[in-house]
Amino acid sequence: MAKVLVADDAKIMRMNIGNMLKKLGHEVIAEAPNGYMSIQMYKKHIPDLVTMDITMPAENGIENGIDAVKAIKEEFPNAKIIMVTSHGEQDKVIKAIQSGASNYLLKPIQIDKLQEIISKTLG
Amino acid sequence: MDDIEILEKLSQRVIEYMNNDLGMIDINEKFSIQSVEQIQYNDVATLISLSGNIIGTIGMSVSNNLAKEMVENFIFGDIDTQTLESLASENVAETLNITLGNIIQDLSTIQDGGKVEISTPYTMHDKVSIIKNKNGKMYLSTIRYKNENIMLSYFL
Repeated sequence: MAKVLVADDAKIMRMNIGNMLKKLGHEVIAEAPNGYMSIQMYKKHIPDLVTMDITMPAENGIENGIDAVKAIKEEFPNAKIIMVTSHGEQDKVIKAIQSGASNYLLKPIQIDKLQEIISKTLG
Repeated sequence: MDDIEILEKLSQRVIEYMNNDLGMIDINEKFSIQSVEQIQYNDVATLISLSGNIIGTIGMSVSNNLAKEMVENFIFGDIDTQTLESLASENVAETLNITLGNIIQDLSTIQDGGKVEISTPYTMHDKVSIIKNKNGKMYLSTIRYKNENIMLSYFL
């Protein structure tokens, strides 16, 4: 069972991913509605895994999920982060992986795909 | 890319998404695209701006009832009525965000090496009306679901 931080600006996506994670036996220890809050929540809870939406509103200089990945990985090099994206954001996915994200998941999210990516990411 | 390619591909993807991902099998697989001078949106309307090699604004609009039904089918697990209602508008935005994101790479402009930036969705309520710019273009695709219309628009 992994302790997971779910970062997404859409409440409905946080709820959906959270419900799937619970069904898969994981624990959602925190949620964040933007990249800046995801960094704060990471520092507070040190989760085993983060699901991070790529496009989120800017706050305190953190423009999106990619900036959050950079900041988290700088302080916590072993952080495991799965980017959540739609197919059209391919360039951003590459940037996120270059910034240290472990993997990515395409929307719409299917529970079996989520499980597969978590298993690959956590090893 | 011709003017209606994006709306054709988006309409096809929305039908597929509602049928396969949301299990809303009563979606009609046919749609019609018209050039229009004005669009009167339904109860919930969400807009996403495109910039880069494709410019313009894409919209999706549905009634409150259909927006709620879409939430019921989107959410994994149970949801209470109050939460369902509070998430209805946001889910229309998320639906457009997902389906538009899914088809962007298939557009001829992008296949030819073009780039496009997709904005975060902006959602409006109360049957907003939008009129075409004097030298602009405006297209509307209508998809039927039971006795409801799903409106998809593209204007620039």
